[in-house]
Amino acid sequence: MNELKETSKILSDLLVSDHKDMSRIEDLFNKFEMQFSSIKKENLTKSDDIHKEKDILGIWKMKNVKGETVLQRNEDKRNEWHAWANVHEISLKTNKKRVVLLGESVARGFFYTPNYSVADELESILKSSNVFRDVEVVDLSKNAIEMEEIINVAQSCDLLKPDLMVMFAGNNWLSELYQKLDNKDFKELSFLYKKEGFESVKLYLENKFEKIISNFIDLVITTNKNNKIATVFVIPAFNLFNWKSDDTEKTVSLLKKDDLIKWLEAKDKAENALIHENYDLLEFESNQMIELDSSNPLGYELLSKAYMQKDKILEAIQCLDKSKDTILFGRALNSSPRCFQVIRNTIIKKASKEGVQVVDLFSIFNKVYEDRSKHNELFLDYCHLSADGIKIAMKHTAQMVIESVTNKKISIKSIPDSKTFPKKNTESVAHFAAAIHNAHWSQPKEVLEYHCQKAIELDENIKTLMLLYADLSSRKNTNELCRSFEEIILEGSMHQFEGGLAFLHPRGEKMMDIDLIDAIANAIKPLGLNYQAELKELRFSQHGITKIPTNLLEPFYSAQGYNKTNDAISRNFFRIRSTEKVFNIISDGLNNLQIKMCYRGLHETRDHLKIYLNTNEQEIYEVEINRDWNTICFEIAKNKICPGINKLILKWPVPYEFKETHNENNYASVNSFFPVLGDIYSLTIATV
Amino acid sequence: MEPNIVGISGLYHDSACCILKNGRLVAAAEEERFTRIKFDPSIPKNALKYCLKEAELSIADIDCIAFYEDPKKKLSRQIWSGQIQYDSSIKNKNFNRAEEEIREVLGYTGKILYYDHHLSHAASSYYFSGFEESALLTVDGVGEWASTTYGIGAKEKIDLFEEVHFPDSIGLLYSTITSYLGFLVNNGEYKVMGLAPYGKPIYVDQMNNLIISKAEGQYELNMEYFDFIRGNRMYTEKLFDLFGKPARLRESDLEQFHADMAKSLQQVLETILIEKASYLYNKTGSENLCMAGGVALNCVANGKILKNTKFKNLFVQPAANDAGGALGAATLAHVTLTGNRPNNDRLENVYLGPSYKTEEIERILNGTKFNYKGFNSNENELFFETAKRLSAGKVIGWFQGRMEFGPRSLGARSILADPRDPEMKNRINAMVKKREGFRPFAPAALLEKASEHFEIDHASPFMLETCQVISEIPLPAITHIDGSARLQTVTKEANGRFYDLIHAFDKITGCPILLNTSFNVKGEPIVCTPEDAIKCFIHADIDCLVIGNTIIDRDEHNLDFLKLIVKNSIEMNERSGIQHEVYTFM
Repeated sequence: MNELKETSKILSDLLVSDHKDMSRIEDLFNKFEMQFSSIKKENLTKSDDIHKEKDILGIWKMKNVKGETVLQRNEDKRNEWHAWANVHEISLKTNKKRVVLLGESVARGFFYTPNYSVADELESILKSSNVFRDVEVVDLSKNAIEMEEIINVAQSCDLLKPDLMVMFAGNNWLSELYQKLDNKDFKELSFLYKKEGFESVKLYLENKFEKIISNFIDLVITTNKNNKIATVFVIPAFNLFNWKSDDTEKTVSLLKKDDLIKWLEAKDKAENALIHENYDLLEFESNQMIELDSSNPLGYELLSKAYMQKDKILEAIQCLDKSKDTILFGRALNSSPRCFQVIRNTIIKKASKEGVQVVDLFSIFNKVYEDRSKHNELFLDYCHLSADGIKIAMKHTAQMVIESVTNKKISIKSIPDSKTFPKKNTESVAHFAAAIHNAHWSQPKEVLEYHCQKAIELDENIKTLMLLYADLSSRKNTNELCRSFEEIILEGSMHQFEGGLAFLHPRGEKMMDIDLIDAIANAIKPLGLNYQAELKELRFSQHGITKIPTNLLEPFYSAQGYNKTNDAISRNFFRIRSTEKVFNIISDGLNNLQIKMCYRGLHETRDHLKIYLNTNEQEIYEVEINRDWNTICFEIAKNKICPGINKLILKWPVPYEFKETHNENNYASVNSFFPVLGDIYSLTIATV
Repeated sequence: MEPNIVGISGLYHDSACCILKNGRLVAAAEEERFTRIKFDPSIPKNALKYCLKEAELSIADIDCIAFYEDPKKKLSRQIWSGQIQYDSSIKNKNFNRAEEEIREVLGYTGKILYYDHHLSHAASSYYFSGFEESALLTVDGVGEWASTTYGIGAKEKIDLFEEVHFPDSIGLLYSTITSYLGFLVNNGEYKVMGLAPYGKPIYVDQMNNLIISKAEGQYELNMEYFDFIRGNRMYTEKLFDLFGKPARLRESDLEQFHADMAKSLQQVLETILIEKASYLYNKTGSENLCMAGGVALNCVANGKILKNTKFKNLFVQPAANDAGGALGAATLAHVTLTGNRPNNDRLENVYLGPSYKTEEIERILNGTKFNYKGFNSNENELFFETAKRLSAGKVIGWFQGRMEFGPRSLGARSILADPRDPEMKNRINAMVKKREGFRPFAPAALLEKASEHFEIDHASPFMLETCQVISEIPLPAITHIDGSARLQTVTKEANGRFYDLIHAFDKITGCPILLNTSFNVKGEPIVCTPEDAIKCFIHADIDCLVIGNTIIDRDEHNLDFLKLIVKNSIEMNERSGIQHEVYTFM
């Protein structure tokens, strides 16, 4: 015993030393082998103890009701009910042709359900087609479902004895795909990046992911074949024309030597060219950006604008599709879900090999996009379809369902329109909910304005809900403690938006939704409602700068959306990864303001940190950066401050040399592709 | 200019942070209060942010971070007990997680000093005791290797001259029986102490098979009965044979057997602590005793030590658990850096956490649906109105001033009630705290009147002592079955508002005592912010919330909807930061 104590002390010395003598460490650990063998054995048997319940399908559990066995919603899973179809009981037996619909929020008809759904639409079209004597679509889709859970649902589907399964999924798989990578993969990625750059990283990831996706598709098809269930895959599409990358997704990459400087120069030139409508220059400079950094979506987004101006719609689509896929590189932790090319291609390849029908919404929508007026019409956000989008998608799905069941080819023209339509107030609520969702994922002001205006156009009664939301969002209270939250939920319309539960933000992560609330105020103006003055007063009462310092690092003032950098560590200081960072300040403009900031750089820089107020023309402070924490304190004269919202803009200099990152574990290696420019420990503002 | 020092305990359980500014303790808080993760073990980044804000310092102003443990020593114990085994990942693993997290998560680049776990405990008690010299006794589950230490403090010096080493541990004995009795390890130990008065010590003989006293300060656990080294559970099946019953299933009915076991354990614990404390007295000759470590929170045992040894004065640091290690580490670093003891005075109070201004509280309330009564211009009226409600049998959520540091609510974040009401204990346990019915509640009494109602002749500001209830007023809600109570004495200087409230209650009722329990529900940390207090008020069927200068009456509101929302959100987020099957050895 005492000898082993001594050995453990030697081992602890060796393990904390900078250069570990691994052979000695292994030898010393061997001395403990006898003592630990029983523990290892016990741990192995523990993990084998996995138990699966056979009478459960999603939130439903088999139950005997009045002599009939049905699937009934499980009380134990009440907290999950809101994520599934609002159906309490499902009969096990049916005389109808039974189609089950599996998938993610896009398959639920997110923003419309329970008042209108994808399953309703499909069932209506199938009924109108008169191919089947009677047909029903059982909605088994669930918000945010991932691969593993969807397989569980697919495997339990046999309980319902369906004739066909529609699998409408592929948006939510990235996090699970990443989780299946191991340390070896991350090491290899790091190596590939250093040696060959981002294209090789992408190729490696796509190869890895293709295998995982293939296995998933095989499992679905095999399970269904064994259960004699036909399968139709619906591959989701992405809102290419109206979804923009956010700041987190556009952070700079760690490029070789001066490439980052060149990329930033090309970016400035491209953005300038766009302002001056010089589309040849825009095309040239954005191509430069892509060549220097194919992982950054910004180059593709700018290039697509040039293509659109030149009427090269197909090229623009290809460009935006590549932009969408840059999320694969792992910059952000919480990007909007999406279906990557590798997912689409793998489903098509596997399904074709197995003779399974596929509805590829990317191809179908590309044809729709030939009419430019349709570019805004198919989606409500990144992937959730508008009613128009749902109708097009389900018409093609109905075609494939009929072909699969009847084994006959039919023309899309022979598929009838559905007789189901969302009511105007349902559509109005959907657009308003979409405005909120878009705002929380940092979409531009014009998108928020579009959805708010559309909501008012469809049903002006939505104004009451909008004003309640404006109150909720502008207050500093956590949402559940706001009077307006209760009023919103009890009003009832938010049934269409997860019952309003999406408003229950994580502790300390509430945002102010400035652009959204401004969009609301503008949208209700034509109704004779002038909310601006009240809003200004409310914002100042909640967030106005006073003599008590306000912490500008709080999400109210620093966050534009819920997306976060993919950083394995949650730090208690703010990391700067962009050359520009904006903080919102709410002031009455009556007092000078004092700013106090503790900051540091992480690399050597030639330039200074520059701080601006509201525009790039109004520089208010300049300071050099080094690797130590420094505290600065300076005043802003009141004559420079607008009454209302002001923007404090920090322009962080680009280093000329980056410090090497040693940690090669898991996400840290991917994370190291994207450098940290500096850190802010504290940033406060108070009246003087 | 004296150094600014941050003390940290963490990465184990009860993570916490404190700050010494110019040698003065200006702030301390547990991380769990900010994250709402009970026993949160993570490096206390939120608590540090708070401490810096309170001290009006930035990270650049900190001269040293003192960590309450020696990671290397602890690593050797973890290797020895098999928690760390050889595999290929070892090569790239950083085994000094404390340093890694202090650098990476807290962003601190300066000097880090490490102090042994039990040295930190000892310092946390001694340097805040006000004693010029004292014997030191620390007892807990385990630190690095030590589970019990004996020492002496003289002026600025601390000498721990003897240690008992893992796996022998009084703390782990207590946790093992806690687990056997169907309570959570690292959480249910208080419950066992509360259950003990309901039992008879009829299993003392069997219990004595578990621990064998040895010469000097040493003792041994009989490892035939303990399985915690293997890391899956605390006891072996031999324990079932010893006591003739299998372990109690969690949440199953409590029987007399379980109470008898708790009482027997308490008696065995007291016997060995008295014996070892007497040894310490003989060894040091000091009449003062400072105690710390989780076992020092056993106030019944502390009282017995004082009564049954030659020690005349006892000081127990109120955050005697690992959270308090942060205080010890910080003060030790102060001695290292300056050569001087940082503090010569006894710790007056533990109101070291965040407070909230009236305007902030009102801003929050104005956004809610609550109608509140404001008393900004007349605080006495606030105390009178609150006391009136208490005397009418109402349960009050009391949120005032700076939050307490340590596991006890001492009148800053408290649930208060009338101790004379015979139904109050059951009501608060069931409806408010949502916990087991046998759990006792403690009294808070005006210091100057305490001796009229309790057998005590000195102040007990931290609710760490038990004494017999001798009051002529029946006090069923705070009197244990054995006639004792765990008393907090309150002075105007330590907590003016709490004092004024009890005083107002005394004026109305002639009873200068209130029932005082922590402002939280089962499984949740004590509330920290006004919003936490409002949520707890909604969830816990508290009748009135007195927050700052405002009173909210529950019966004026329909809270059905909010209760559902808050309940869901609490249940969805209800998390414990540590495991409870077995002690946290990692």
